[in-house]
Amino acid sequence: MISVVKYLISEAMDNIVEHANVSNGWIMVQNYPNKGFLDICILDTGLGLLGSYKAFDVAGINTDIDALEQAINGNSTKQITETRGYGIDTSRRMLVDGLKGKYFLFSGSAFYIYTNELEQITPLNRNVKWTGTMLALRVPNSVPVGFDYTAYLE
Amino acid sequence: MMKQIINIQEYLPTTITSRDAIEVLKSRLDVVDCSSFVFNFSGIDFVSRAFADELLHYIKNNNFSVEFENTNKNVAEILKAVNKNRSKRNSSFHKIAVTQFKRKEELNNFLSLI
Repeated sequence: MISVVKYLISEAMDNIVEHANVSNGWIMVQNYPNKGFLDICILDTGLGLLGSYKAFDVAGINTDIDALEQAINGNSTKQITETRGYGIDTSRRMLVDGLKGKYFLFSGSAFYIYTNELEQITPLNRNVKWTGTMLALRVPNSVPVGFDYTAYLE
Repeated sequence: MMKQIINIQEYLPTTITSRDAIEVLKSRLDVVDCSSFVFNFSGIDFVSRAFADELLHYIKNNNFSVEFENTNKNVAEILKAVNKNRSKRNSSFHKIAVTQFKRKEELNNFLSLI
């Protein structure tokens, strides 16, 4: 389980370093042993997903919804596309499909949520926005039988 | 040609999370006299996918002959998975439903149920 948490955090933090164009970010962690999960929030006040795509002149991505959908599909802003862009997609599947946790990604005026019950992108009123990227992960304390995080590695 | 052993633990923390960490190792490689390297992962507990990707990319670009030694299970699995998938990419596009809430109360209610 520690390796999974390290994987999830490392991918998110590396995205800040690689894409946010800021010198710092924040991580907040709260354990809820009685409720059976760990909440992790990693955020920055950088370019945001849309801003990052725009900074790298990636064509066809014009809204926060587009940017979320592309990021989740592993469309990296970097040129070496065959080996980049795995982080978000792998992390969300590892957490939700594998661990039965919950994944929340908020950037600009839209958020993406993925749980075992639902998956959707929700646009918000333009006045409601996060200037940067905010990732919230709910990690169950117990690992489902048969779960092997390496099966999700790409 | 000489073979250089790089004891990663001497230069990087036990948990390596950043793609940029490769820069530290690059500065330690004697690329003038060596093209064969042993990366000793003794004491390294975890490497991120991003670091593994960057390391493998650097090795391939420079045509180095490399051995990985003392990798624990986590490190070995990540290096193996990243290396295996370097040339094959799932290009299928995953379309995601977009759901908008007209009223703030609807949004609040939705979020409270997650």
